[in-house]
Amino acid sequence: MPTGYELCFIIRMMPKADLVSTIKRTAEFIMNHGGYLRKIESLGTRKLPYRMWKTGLSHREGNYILMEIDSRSKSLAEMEDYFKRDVDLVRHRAIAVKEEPKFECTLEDEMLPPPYSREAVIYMFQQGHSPAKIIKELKLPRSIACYKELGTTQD
Amino acid sequence: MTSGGSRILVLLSRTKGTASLRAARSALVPAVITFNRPDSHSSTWVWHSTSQTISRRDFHGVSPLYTESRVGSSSTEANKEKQPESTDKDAIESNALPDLPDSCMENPYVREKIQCVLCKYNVPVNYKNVKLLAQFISPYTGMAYGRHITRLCIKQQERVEKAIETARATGLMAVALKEEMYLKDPKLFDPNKPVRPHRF
Repeated sequence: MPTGYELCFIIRMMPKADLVSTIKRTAEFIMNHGGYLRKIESLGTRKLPYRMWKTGLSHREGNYILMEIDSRSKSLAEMEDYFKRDVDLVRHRAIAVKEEPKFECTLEDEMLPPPYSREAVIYMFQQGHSPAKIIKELKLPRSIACYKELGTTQD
Repeated sequence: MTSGGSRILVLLSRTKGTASLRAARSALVPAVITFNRPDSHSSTWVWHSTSQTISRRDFHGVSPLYTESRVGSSSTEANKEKQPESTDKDAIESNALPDLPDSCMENPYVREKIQCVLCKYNVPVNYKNVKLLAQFISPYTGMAYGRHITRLCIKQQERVEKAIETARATGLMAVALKEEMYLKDPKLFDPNKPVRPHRF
């Protein structure tokens, strides 16, 4: 399946044998509940950046484990439910793996004054305050092309 | 003062030189003409063997490409007739004088586009790369700097901010501070010299 996720766990401090069994347990759960396990990676045992709590226990050090899986979003929701209840997993997070498209750097255009940096202005216009009024009045589609047709603000 | 078999001499006085020359050009002319002045060197001009009027530009051997760009050069009929002949690009280039500027060439003095640090060196931004993300946060408050300080382009700035968010949520990166191991990393920008003032 193309929907790849990265599950990042923080497992609490415990002897190595217990750590191995914890990892096995979670991996088996993933595989039994519609997940295809691709890779298990350890990001080390180190001090946590801030104090974390789980069911009344505070943690300042932990074991970082990364698992790369393929699964459906519904199955992932089930898995996350399980991870929430497990005391050994201090923190869990599923991050969808997305291919970041390549683009050209627009810094030069952004540094120009507003009359010349029209593309950057349009982008910021879209991002921030959505000009719903303008779109309604002119009955334009919600695409960047419509902002090019608008022309300058002085018109 | 005739001299030589086939040559025709045109006697000119200095004051009326150009006028009579124009008259001579507009009249029926043979293939070659030469004229001698007592104090000047002889000059030979090759004429087109036509009976029609010839513009000054064609007379001087200037390329049609050059004439097209000039204002009012295509007014004469002779010029218009000649233009379709030499519309072929190769023909134009071969006819053009080598000293003329090449209008088809790209500007060789174009400056390199200014790029942000991450785009320039093609650095991938990932939430796991906490060391990179920590370069874009304040060592005093731990907050991510804005675009006017980091000098990144809009998209890269978005990527960095999102990555910082996920890194903090997964428990890889500190929230309210910059960790000690990242404090002495190289500075990508001077936060004391932003585009506009800030309070971090």
